[in-house]
Amino acid sequence: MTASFALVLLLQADPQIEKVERLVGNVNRPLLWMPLKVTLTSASDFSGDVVATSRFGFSVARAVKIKAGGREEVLLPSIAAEEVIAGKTRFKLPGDVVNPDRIVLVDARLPYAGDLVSTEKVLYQRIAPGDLEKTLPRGLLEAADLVLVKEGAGTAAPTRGDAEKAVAAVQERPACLEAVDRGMWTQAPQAGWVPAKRTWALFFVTTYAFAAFVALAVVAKRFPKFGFACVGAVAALGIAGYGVFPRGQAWIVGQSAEVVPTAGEGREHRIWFLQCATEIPAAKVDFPRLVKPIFPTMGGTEDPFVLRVDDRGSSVEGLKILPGRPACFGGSEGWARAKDPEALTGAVVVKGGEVEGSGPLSDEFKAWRRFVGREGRFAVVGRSDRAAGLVQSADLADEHERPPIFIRTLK
Amino acid sequence: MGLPPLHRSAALYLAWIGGLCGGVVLLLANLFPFPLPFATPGAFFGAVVELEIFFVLLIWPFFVPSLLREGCTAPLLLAYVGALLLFALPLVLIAANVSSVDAPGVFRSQVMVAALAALAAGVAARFRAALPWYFLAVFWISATHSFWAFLGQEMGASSPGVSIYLSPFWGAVADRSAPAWVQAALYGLGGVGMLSVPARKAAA
Repeated sequence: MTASFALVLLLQADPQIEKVERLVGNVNRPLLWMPLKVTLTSASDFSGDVVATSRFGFSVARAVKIKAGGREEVLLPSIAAEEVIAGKTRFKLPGDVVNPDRIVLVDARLPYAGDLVSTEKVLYQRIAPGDLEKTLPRGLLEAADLVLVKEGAGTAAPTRGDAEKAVAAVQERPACLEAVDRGMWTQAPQAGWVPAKRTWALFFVTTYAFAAFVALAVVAKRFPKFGFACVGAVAALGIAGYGVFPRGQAWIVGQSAEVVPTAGEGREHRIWFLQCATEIPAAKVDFPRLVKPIFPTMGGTEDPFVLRVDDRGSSVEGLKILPGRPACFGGSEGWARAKDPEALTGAVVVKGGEVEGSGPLSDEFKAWRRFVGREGRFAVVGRSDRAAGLVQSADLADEHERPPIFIRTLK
Repeated sequence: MGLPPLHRSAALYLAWIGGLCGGVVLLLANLFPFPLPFATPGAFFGAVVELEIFFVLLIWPFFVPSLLREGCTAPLLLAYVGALLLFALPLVLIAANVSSVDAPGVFRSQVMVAALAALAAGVAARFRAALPWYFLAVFWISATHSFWAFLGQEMGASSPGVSIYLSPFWGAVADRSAPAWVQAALYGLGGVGMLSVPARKAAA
């Protein structure tokens, strides 16, 4: 038994971290996704997590399996990464980063990709086509100002001349969700009751009181022999009703904002606020897309949690939520809309960076203001919240979505 | 000997369930122009148990004489207590769910409510003339001891440490389970003892 246990331990030796590359270059954009390409080797079979710790207090983990003597390249999303850990092996990321004005990612298939020379202002970073395919659609290259590609999503620039024109035309990087956003936190739900539980409890007590009145004042009076049976039946119905009462202590308020430019593909940004009525020491929450935590301050979090990613969605593990201290996560995806939505309310037009008109501005507009840019139109689609079921968690009692935001950028 | 027809005691059940449901509606429905500071999810279970204790200590004794007049014997009053707890069980379960109270906590609170109800029934059944003194004692033990301890906490005055083991409203929401169990044993034994004493002996 002991020998077999030792054999298992021997076979499950820690892998070696051969190399860690920042796909977007050694740049300092700490609030955005900065995916890492981690090369691992292992002398024996390894099955475990590759983890990137963040200076904001959380970690991003991805499961990996390496055959004995094998080599594996893992794309690991990260935000302000400090260290990469695989098993017990640690790799400290170098702190020497540059601060160029522009980051331009260049598809390695482009014939001129090797000829572009970085300057103090513009950093050209080559990216392999496979990495591009895996990262660009998920919004992981948001730190780049421009992604030059041979074909597909990104900016198509088949010749060097096209590339230079595209770089010269870059003005402002489209706004994206950032890991610290105080403005967005003005939208956080207030602490208190789980909305579904409050509504359910009110509905239940009024129905229960009415049923009790009917049973006691009508049925028991008419049929005295069955009086106690009536009481038992009402109580049994009440206990059965409790069976469908929401069990979880957390609820989620979500909101999406669709940002559509005049040309090209739009993006849908979606945020989720997790709030709870009583303390949840370690929640596990599954999101339908890759999300990043959004903190109100640069301090990040004091209670570490793990953001586990795979090829599609992501999940948060070991998340501590306290009443009055919600958590916020957000993610973006490409979005193609055929036509503008109808029934818009609360429209605000921005021209030359200034808001047109003198009316009071909604909190929602203030929160999403930077996504409108210098020229654009902001509007809310519809008026009322609606139930949603995008996020999965055993602790979840209620999820609803605020009316979505529609932003048309004009420049 | 037996329980009277239910419709005769319907007022008791309706008052009980109406009081509890009404209390929950007042807590949850934002009927007041200001938010109730104690109407929080964490305090909801405590509030429902306090409502139960208020009813069994101060309202339930008024129903006891009419039940006895209708032919119910004193020991059978405990059956009424059981029916009251059964009737309130769904509300208690919901409150425990909202406040994340575990099963032992729910059980302890309901045992304590039953014990207090037995005490109130015993006094009302066997010592009806002493009911005014009973209400005075309830007020003294419930309110004065809590206030005394509050003054002790806020102003440094010395207050008896045993108060939490006597005051039902305080013991029911105490962080520790010992006060609730001690009170349940103390008041429950007292109540059952009074109810099991033959009527003539008690009157003598």
